[in-house]
Amino acid sequence: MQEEKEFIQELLNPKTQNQAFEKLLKEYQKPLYNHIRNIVLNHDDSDDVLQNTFVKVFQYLKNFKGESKLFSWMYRIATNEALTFLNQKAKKNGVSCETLQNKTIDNLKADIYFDGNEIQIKLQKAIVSLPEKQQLVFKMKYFEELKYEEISEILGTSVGALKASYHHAVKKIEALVTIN
Amino acid sequence: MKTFKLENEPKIESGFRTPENYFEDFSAKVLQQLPKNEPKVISIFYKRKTWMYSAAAVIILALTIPVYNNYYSNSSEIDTPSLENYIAYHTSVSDADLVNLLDEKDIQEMSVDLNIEDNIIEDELSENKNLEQYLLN
Repeated sequence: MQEEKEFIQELLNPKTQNQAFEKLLKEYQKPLYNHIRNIVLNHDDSDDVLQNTFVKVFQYLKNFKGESKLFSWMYRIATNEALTFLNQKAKKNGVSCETLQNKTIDNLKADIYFDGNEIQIKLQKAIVSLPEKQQLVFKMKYFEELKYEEISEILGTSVGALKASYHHAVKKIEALVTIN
Repeated sequence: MKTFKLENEPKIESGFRTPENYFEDFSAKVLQQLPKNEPKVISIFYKRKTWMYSAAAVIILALTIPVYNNYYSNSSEIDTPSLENYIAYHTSVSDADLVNLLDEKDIQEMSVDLNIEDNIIEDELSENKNLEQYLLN
């Protein structure tokens, strides 16, 4: 925690800022990219959202109170950016988020940055039919392999509630994949 | 149909890939986009604006002064100079009328004003030699 405080100081000091931010990018770009990609599904959109996320992180660093960890704070920004992006895209196309996501999944097979097989597509389709919160919890736990404690800090939900959410999500997904 | 169980399956990866060297290029791209900490430039128009606002305020104040004066001069009380002018040019009041208006007390007060001591009159008469002429006439 002390180390993190020092790192934040480095990020805020104009002299060390650039170097520190480069370090931050190197450390977090991959996990944050995966997190965003799991939400928006397509690479180009993820790229946009990830850029916005880092620019926002840079802009709001001076307001970062250190009440939560830098890690969860950044994940929270990325989650919000990704969800806002999805909602805006759906609105622009005049469809619901679920319809938009289904369309994106149908296009995954042709996506050069996706090399999954039938089961992966089925799994994605099943996930999209879940409520938003369950989708997030499932993706963060199953694909990103985050700990419940970490997810709890990011989403501001208790560990117990997260476990219940994940359990429901798994049950529904298994049922849907079995039918299809 | 075989029931699908996530825990029985080998771990299913998301299958998402990124273009080659994506992350190497990404850092550079973001670093370029960051807002630079340049010294703040305050536009000259910003300062000019303040002056324009002050000037506008002064002009408005100046314009309201006649209105303000007008408002008060419309009051029912007549000011002293107007009253004096009226009496001087439009009156038919004669000196006799004015004398009649004076009562005993007024006359007494006036006599007090004229009560000059005798020795001052004498001094004045002795110093002013021209007076003799007046006296002779």
